[in-house]
Amino acid sequence: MASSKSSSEKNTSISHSFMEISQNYIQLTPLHLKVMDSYMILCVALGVIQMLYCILVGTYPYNAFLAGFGSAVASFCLTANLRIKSNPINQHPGSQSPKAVFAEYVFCNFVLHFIVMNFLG
Amino acid sequence: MLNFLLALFIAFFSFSSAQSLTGSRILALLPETKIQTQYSTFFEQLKERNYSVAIKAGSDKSIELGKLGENLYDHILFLCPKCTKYGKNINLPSILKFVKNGGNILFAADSEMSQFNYDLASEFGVVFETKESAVIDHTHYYNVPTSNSTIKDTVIARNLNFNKHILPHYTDNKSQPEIFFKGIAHQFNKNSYMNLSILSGSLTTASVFKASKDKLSVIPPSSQLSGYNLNLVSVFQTLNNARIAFIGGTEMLKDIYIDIQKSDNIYGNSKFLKDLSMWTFHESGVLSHSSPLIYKTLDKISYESYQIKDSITYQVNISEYNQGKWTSFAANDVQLEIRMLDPYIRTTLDYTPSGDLEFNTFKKVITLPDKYGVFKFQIIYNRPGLTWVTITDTIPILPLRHNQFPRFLSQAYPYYTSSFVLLGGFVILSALWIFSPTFNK
Repeated sequence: MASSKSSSEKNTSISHSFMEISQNYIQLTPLHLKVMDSYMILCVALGVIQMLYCILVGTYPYNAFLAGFGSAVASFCLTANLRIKSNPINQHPGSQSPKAVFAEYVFCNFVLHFIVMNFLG
Repeated sequence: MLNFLLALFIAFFSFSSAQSLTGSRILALLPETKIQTQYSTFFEQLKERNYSVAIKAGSDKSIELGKLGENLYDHILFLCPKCTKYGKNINLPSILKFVKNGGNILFAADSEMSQFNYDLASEFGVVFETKESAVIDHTHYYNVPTSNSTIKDTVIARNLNFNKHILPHYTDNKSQPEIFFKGIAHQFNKNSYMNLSILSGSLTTASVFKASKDKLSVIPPSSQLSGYNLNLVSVFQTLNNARIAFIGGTEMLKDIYIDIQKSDNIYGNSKFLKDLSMWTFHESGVLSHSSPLIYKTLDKISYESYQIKDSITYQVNISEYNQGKWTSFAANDVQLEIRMLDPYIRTTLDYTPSGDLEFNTFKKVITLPDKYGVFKFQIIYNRPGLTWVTITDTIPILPLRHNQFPRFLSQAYPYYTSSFVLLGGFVILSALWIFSPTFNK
């Protein structure tokens, strides 16, 4: 009886902390970081789906698989990088200006999608 | 009028030329020329087949096998086992040169044989039994009425090679063989694919020493050939398709032995010699082929090179020269290999019987291997009783060009969609970054 009470207390404390985290996230995270987070979730979801599809259907258009899967992974990485650099917490006097960070991101994405389109077949 | 003359001309030539593909000039070497009367039936057989037979004594100094690198005869009959040498300048190298030039030999040995003849036979891997040995058989023997010898050395041999290319009259008619033989046994390396036994002993046949004319020694010869291992007649085919027949005794070629058995229902000496000499002198078992036709199955055009996984058709016509005429060759084991060091494809070619034509077309539709490189298309058809056939074509197989790969595959659509969704996401993200006032403040 005592143990079930303590476990229910634990549950409430865990759900409570989750609530707190999510509320903090919703309230404190700037909008542009939220958009980037949703884009990264999309990248992970597409990567997982393509991996499963490849396992199920086979590797036949292997170049297309590599292009699709690689583009998901690379987009995730590039966006994560942009997110880190544009996060206000990480900003200090010596850091890159937001415009330079964004230009870097765009350039890298151009290169990436150029390669992806070539590889797609 | 002209056509008539032409027809006459052709008829004349087809009559006068021998049936042999290599030529009609035969040199027969006998101990003495007057002995030729003993072989009259055999020589008559040859003359019926339009051969010109030059009969010479082995010791005749004027004999020459070739002049200025060309053979003066097309075939030689060695019927002089005792001859220690032939002519003046004829030695082993000159005989081998004759064979290398495509000359055929029919060689008859005997119990008393000179060292030169032993050496000649051993050049072709044939080892005759030691001197003075003879083949006997105590169950299948024949008493020649004219001789008073008590030795059972006239063997009735029945163990023939069932090869339809070499002995067509035996295999086609299924007649009872009964071949009278007297002479010496021989052997050869069983692993040699060039040697082929034609007539061998039965279980009761053995090779023994002949001590005197009428008695047999109790000591068998050192090699002790007996039974099926004991060869009476065998043939050899060189790599350039020259043929050599080895007969263990001159006796079986002579009229008295041919005359013993004349019944048409029995496959006797006469028919056997005819088949054997026809094969040896290139009247039977000679294959000829067209150059192969290789083309793309789709558009029926031959290219210099093909691409991986192309469907091509390989086609070759093969005909067989059989008993003096070209016939269509039929076999289910003609095998094509497409190889680059290793065979990537090995397949038998199919043929459809062509009816009256002189050839059969062997054909196969092949899907080329998924491997690029320089490939050899090769048919190596080596069968006992037929001339060796090797057909080789070297053809490169190319990979697909960069624009020949299939595009817009239905099973790749998830990958396409994902790539474009991510690209779109990137565009939206950038647009928000640039234009949205709430962004990145």
